[in-house]
Amino acid sequence: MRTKIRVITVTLLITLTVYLGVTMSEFSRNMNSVYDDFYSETNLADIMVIDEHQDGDNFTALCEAHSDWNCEIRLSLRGEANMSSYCSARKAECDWIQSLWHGMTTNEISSLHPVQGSMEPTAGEMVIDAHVANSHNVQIGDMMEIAAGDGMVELEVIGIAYNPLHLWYMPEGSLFPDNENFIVGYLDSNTLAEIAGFAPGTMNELHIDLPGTPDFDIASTYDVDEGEELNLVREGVLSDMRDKGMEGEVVDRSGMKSPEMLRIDLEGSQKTTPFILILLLVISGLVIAVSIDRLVKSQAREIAVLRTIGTSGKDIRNIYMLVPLVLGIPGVTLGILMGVSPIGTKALTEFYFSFFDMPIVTIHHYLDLIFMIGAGSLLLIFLFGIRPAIRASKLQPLDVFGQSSEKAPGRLLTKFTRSLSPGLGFAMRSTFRKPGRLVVTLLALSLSMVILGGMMMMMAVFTNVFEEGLDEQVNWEAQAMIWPDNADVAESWAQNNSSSYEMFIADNGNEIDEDRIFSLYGLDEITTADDQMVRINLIDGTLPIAGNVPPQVLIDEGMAILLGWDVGDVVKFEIGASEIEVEVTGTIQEIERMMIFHRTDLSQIVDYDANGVRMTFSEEQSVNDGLREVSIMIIEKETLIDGFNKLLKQQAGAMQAMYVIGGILAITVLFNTLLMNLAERDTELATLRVLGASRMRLALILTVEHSFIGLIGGITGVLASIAMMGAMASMMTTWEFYIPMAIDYIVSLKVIAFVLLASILTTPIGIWRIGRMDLLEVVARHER
Amino acid sequence: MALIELKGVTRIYGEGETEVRALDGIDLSIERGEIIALLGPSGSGKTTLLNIIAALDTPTEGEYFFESEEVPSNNVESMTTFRRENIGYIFQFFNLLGDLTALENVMLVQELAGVEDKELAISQLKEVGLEGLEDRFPAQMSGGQRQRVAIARSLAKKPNIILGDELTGNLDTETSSQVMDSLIDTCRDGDMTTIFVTHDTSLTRFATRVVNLDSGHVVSDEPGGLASIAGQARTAVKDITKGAKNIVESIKDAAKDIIG
Repeated sequence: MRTKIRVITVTLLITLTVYLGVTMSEFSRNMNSVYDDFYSETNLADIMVIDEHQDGDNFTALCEAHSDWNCEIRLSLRGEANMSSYCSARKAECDWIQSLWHGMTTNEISSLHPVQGSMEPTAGEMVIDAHVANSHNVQIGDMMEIAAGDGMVELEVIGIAYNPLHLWYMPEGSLFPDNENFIVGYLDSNTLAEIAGFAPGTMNELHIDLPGTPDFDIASTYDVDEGEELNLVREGVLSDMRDKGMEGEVVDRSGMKSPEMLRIDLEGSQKTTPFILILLLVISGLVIAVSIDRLVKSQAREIAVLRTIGTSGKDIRNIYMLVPLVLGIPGVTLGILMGVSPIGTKALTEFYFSFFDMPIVTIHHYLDLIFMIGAGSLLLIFLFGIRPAIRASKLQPLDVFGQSSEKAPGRLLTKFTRSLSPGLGFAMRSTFRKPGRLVVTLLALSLSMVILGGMMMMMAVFTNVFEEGLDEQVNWEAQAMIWPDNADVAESWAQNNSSSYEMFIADNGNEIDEDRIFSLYGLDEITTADDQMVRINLIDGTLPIAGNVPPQVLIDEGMAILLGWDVGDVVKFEIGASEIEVEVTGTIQEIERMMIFHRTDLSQIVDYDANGVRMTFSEEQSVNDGLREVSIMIIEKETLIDGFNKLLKQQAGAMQAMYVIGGILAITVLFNTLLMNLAERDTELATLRVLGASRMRLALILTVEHSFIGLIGGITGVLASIAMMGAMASMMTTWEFYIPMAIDYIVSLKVIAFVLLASILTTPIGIWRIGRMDLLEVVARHER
Repeated sequence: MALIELKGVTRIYGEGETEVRALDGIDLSIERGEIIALLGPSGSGKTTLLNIIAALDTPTEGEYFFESEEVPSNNVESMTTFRRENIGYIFQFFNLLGDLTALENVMLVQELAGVEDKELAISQLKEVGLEGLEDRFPAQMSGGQRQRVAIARSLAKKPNIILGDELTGNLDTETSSQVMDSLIDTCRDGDMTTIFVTHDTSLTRFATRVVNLDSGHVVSDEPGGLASIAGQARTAVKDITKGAKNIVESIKDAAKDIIG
């Protein structure tokens, strides 16, 4: 019975490992092909030039000398959309929503991927992004009021499309997809210019399609330049721009938010898949090794008889080396079948693409991947079986028949447990009786907890950092971005319509000769107290003092680590074409890469006083059209938090699936160990029963043992989870997405409690076994 | 009043063609303080009888009384409680717990019975000749020493009955005698009833009563001690004489055939 359960356990582990391996590997490859196909079909720009709005001819002039380049100019403006008319028709309540409008020209580069309707909007028309259409149920023919620049108009939706610049559909200022609180629309460029109050032909973007698809430098690989060739082109364009007096920036695909986020996501998946696969295989291998070791011990007498009658050690070894394969082949086969079934690759890929609302779903099965995972799993399983097989071949008949293997417990253990009652001492000593196996078990248990614990810790850190960044540190209720020229009007509005406000500067800087862009903020009050618009979460150093030369700044922890800048350093960076020198006085915890100045210091550098205002409101106050008319974009804190909470909620299903898998693994390993524990101790437990030990007494002994294993397993599980979290954090940290290393004590306690509880919950199985135990048979078996 | 009363106890294993009647209508009455040796060939039912007395097994038919109370046979926990309160069991292969010292092995039984008395446990080890070896683990002891620990363990809670299944079967002759001496002395001192199964007829000298079983039946129930040895010697001499007579008769017959 127990042997059958052990075989099922081991097979289940192998099945689970191969199933996850096939599913995750095929998913990664499918994702890769989806992005490649989509970017190729929509002709995503290799390079983008972004500058202040100006005559489009200035941009096209940059392409004149390069006949093999394909170029397209565009006007992209931040704004808002009011869906009230559309909403009232559907008896729903809508409000102004943060938006981005693309004024298209030729639609040949970074072009629209049509879903429905026309892709050629004229005056009074627009194409809406499919993410919005899907989440708000927008249909062709719907009317939508939009605000851009100084104007507001109502436009008819004539088409629905995806765009490669918004496949990862996140609002500005956020890293998370949010289909509901962000609107992207595609208009004719002249229509958009007219709405915003600009001259016809005004542009602010140039999209350049170079021959082929040159590699670009990945921002997170600091020491390697993957796009040397492309960088030369970028530098050439930048030089031409400076010659023409243009101050804007040139970005490759690493500087385009959506493609970069998708690349980071794909890279994360590609990096973690082999890691998790190897982890699972090692767990399976360890469990197999321990199980075969146990099998050898239980068959020691049979092996001794075979050896006595002349069977060679080599023959014995070969027989036991086949056991892992016998267990492995059905497990691997079942795992592959599950992987290619509807609950495998297909389910994961469809879930992912529907989660992010992506247009193309390519689901292929890859024989090379399946073969690699299947054969690799069998090989690893086979390797883990070699040691027990060799041990079996070295068993000597006299050792077995003479029962010379019995050992006294270690001195240290005896010393520690001497003062305990014999029952408790017995429980403790038998737990540590086989330190080798205990270590292997704890190792397998720790590794199995890595997935569950590591994911839980990642989620906790992730949630804490974002809750802190979006909610705890933020005391403003709305933030309006304005043209610097409108600062006075906006301030006047804030004075009359908010209970408190603070003007600020938000701009961008970048590392010299690199395209790592970071945000620059100029604040009036830089404080760690909670009574201002923003509370600074100072990790190291001191707050900057205004008016210093060079200006003193704070930088976020991620930036400090990724750029190697320390507190006290005087560093240089670029704003447009100007090189700036600052002194770093402290590091702070923040979601985005940022540098914080005193506003008076930054205004001298950027040459304007403010381009944003943060406000709090009393109950009767709120954002109204007066502010909207002078704003480029308004962000409400509540909307940001809602978006984040929705994302967490959406992810809950996927996370729960990972938790369940991790939990099953941990319980399987634990269950297997405790079953072996019981099997090895049949005679002891039967002896105790013959001597009059009640089931309650044995339950107590087993509970103490299992609690010890659970407690130690839990602690090692936490350590392994922290290590996993650290590994994942360093693997997944990128320029855009820095994940700080932090230990969440609540999660640590949860991990320990989980293992402890799972361990204790297996005790009733032991008690049930003891209840069914045939004492005569067990004692007689020993005596035979 | 008999301490143990078995009435028509039958134990059947298997059914149909595989049915084995290990015990077949055993009637046996045992008084407090008796030392009984159960003898018989393999398969005679000795161990089955011992297991039923120990409440490890239950009769298929018949009744088992202890101090006139019927011993529970249909509830595993009640049977365990009966063992805990009344039985000290000595195994052939000692079955000591290897993680516990000699003293802890003895004290564990006390703990199970709810009587913890370290001094008593030490004195019991001393009584079986293990003074100074209290802190040794089974792996650090000889076979004889281990069996003495097993005896001390069985005596630890001062049970009413001591049961031993081939308790010296794994020991040499000299050690067997020493172990039996220790056991019997202690049992006599404590007025405990002792029942042991053995193949070794020489051990019947320690018994006050020798019960012979064959095919699940009691075939003889005689006094033990030296009388038993003498009785067995007489039987042996009778058998030898009878055998010799048969040989002589055979030779005579053969000679007659040859002479004609």
